Amino acid sequence: MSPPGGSRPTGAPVPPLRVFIVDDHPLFRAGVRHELTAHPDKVEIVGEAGDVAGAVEQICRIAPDVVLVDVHMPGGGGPEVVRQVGSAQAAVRFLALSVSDAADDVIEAIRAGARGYVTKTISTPELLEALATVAAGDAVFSPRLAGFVLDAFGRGPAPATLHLDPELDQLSTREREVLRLIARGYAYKEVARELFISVKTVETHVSAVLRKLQLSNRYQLTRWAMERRLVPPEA
Amino acid sequence: MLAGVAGVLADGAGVSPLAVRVALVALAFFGGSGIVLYVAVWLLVPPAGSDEPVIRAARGDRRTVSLVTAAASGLVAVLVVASVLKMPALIGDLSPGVVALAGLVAVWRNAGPQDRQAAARLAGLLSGAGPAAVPTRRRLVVAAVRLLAGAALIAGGTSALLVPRRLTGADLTAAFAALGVVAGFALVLAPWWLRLGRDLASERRERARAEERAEMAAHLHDSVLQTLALIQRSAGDPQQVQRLARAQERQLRSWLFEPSPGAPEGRGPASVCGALLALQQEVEADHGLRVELVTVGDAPLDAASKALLAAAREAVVNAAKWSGADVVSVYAEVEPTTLSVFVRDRGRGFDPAAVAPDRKGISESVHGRVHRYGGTSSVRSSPGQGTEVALKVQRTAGP
Repeated sequence: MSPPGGSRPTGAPVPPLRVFIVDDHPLFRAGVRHELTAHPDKVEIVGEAGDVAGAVEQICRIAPDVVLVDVHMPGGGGPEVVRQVGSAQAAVRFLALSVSDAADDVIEAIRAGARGYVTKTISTPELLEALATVAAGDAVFSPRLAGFVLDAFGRGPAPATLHLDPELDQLSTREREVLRLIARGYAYKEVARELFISVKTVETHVSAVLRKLQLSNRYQLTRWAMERRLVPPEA
Repeated sequence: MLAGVAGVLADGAGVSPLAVRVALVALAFFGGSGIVLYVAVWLLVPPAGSDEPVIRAARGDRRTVSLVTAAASGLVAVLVVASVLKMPALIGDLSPGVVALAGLVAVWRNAGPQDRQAAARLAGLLSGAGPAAVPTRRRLVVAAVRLLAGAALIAGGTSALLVPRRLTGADLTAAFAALGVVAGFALVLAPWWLRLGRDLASERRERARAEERAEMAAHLHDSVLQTLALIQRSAGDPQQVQRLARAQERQLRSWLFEPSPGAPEGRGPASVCGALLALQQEVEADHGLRVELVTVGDAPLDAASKALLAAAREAVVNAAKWSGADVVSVYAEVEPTTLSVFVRDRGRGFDPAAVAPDRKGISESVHGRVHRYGGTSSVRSSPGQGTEVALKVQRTAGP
């Protein structure tokens, strides 16, 4: 799942990431483009689109490394782009971008196939790092997403009536520990130091959790989103 | 009751509205002067919440004036027909009623929202649900059919009147005739009535929309515009600008997305999450740093949780004051029997061993608070590595 470039050293003579931006706000696209073009050694903007149809068509043609996709867009939004491209171009990776930080939006994007999400208030260095992580096939877990997963996958045993696939519907103790540290604000590097494991192992755990999040039909996952639907999205 | 007249009178005279009502009803029975008085007051005295009497508002409404003109010309036509047919009884009985009705319509249209609602309800009852958007061709056909039928009915009724007492009893003939005339007028005049009803309804909608807009404008003015003004004034101070923008964002978000009170379950201020959200907002507003809050699970507050949250607040404020970091992460996890909170910053950190034990800040306000409830607390920090405060208590309440 993760190519060896997972923790690639920055500044090495690797070709810059080819990034595509999908957002229905031209102003925001311009802003991101402006911020990212200041780092031509790391990122090259290969295109942008403001609607679902245009995005799908261009992405399939250009085949960028990473697509930065807004969750809220007319015509089905970011998740729709992820779904449509995902079935045609499996190699393209998606990083979801959200203003709201509301769990149900974020989770929809992730379950459509995005490998993580960041909020629009993210700083440029953090965004660059997140793009690189996603491009390497790893997952970008914010503290909030980690908290969501811990909540959604519950803590005690699941209801007996539910047929759970232990492979998909439960978190291992280690995964739980990793998520808890991420929720506490630890970076992958710090998690690794805290648990005496390598960064690579942390990334493997996180990718495994992402996969569960995408594939599990665990009852709580839906219920959680339903319950929070009415709650104001809190940054 | 009807137009709030009794209330207005009672306000003016300083007596109870009920007494005024009783007096008015009594007067109405003795010669009807009570009704006249009621209507007069309603027309001339401004309703509560407005400073224009109903009648003046009615005079200023050009649509009403044209409507009344149209109705009046129609009425004149009816009267002419009636007088030609030598039906003084019809003129005598009908005309005052019609004039009164026209006056009422003019007045209703300009009455206050309460009166208007009553009128709209009445109009709805009378006209049924009028077709709002019929295609024009169909509408033309309908109009033609209506006119023809109406004319036929009027003609039939009139001829029945003109050829009296031949077939059956006089009473029956007259009754049929009258019925025919009334039905004919009803058909001819129906569009006016429908339009009246629709006018009332659409005006009410417009008014509701205008009120909504006014409320939003007021809110935006109080919050967003004020903040933008503040931001412009403090453009030279990026930290202040950031703080203002963040606080405003949160406020606007909660205003936009917060459902009406009571909906989100378990997130009230009496729950762990609610209390943490409040903490987050207060510290951000007071200290200008970002508090990243992540919660897992939720529970009602008990004494131990309250103590722990007070300690957590102290830890966050400490981080805001001393760490130099611009973000503090707060993570809270509610488990069936425990509540844990972690407060972490990436600021300058310190050497816990070097802190004098009499420094009240951490030992009393953080550790003391938690220990009193049998909880545990620890501080991990080293210079340059930031600080993390971990707090944990046993909870008494359920999940």
